[in-house]
Amino acid sequence: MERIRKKVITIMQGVVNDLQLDNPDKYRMTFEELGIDSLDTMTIFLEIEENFDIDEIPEDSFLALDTIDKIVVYLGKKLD
Amino acid sequence: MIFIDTIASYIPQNLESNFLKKSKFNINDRFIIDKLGVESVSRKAVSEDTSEMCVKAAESLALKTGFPLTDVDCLTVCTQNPEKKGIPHTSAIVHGKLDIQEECACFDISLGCSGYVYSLSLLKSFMAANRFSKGLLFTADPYSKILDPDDKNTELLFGDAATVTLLREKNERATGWIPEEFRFSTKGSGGDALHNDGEKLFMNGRKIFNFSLKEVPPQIEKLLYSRKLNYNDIDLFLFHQGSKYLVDQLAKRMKLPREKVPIDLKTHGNTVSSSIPLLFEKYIHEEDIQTILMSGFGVGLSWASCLVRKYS
Repeated sequence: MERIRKKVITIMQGVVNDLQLDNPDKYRMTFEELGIDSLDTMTIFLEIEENFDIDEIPEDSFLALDTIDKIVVYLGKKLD
Repeated sequence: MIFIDTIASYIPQNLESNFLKKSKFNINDRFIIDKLGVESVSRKAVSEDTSEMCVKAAESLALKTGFPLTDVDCLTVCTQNPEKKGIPHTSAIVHGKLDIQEECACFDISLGCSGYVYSLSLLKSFMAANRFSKGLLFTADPYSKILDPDDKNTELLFGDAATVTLLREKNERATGWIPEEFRFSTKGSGGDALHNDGEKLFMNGRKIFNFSLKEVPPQIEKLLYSRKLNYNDIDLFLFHQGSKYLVDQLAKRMKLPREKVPIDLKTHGNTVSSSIPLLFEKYIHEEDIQTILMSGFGVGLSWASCLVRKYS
């Protein structure tokens, strides 16, 4: 899980300039609370799909995956 | 040989500011300026229909060139928002309003954001096959006719505009641009991502975004590879102006120098099939620009790319 989290964070910081994710509390904050807008969110998911080599995340899951922790759990199950 | 001679355009003067819609859609200045790249959208008058926009673009062409429009051999209008629900075809209405000679072929082309590239190929081939020497290619897709004013995904993005491209048969004295190579693709199974539900336009932004970033670069690479060219050989990449963010991401993915990827939707927005010719119009006479790659993508899902070269 830690490996997945690190990779997700790297992807997010590659998309959003100056995104500070130094505090683990931020892993539970929503993208909106982290100041990530809808367009950057789309790019983050596209990068995640490509970097983890998974199919496009369905719309209902996509909408629900709004924190780093939720994404990591989702990817953990998907890659299991 | 058929070549692109000149481009002219019409953008309605009525501009709706997106800054006035910030609270309605819960967005901020940064999102408007840096992400959408659309500070205002052009809106045609309610009484002004598709053919009228084409006529105004044609008047601009006549002013620019002095070219007699009345004796063209063919005329096409690329639109998915035709006048009178498409009967008669908008190109015929434009033909009548411009008082063009009867011996003139007129037809509409139903395509969205890939429409300009498709239409260039169609008109070029049609003119060559019939030995025509003068043709007009109009783009006019006034999406304001089908926008839902409460839909953030579309209301802030799409603007109205029309363009006209004059295509001519090459002669010794002429200078212009030759469309040399095309690529076309369709993914009909994804068409619901951007469609008219009978009343209003619907767009799944994420689907369109993913499709554009995944499909457009490989098509361009294939086109260039077939001509033994690479990105360095291209002076300018004219992408459909979906949004600033989309064009930025395409340039980033393809590792293109930003100065080779112009963006122009700040004042008028995404004008569908008019976005590429509006850009092309700005660069068509620049001496340093010799080779252009244009790519349109969207409704369909459809995407099309074209290599054009200047000759003199």
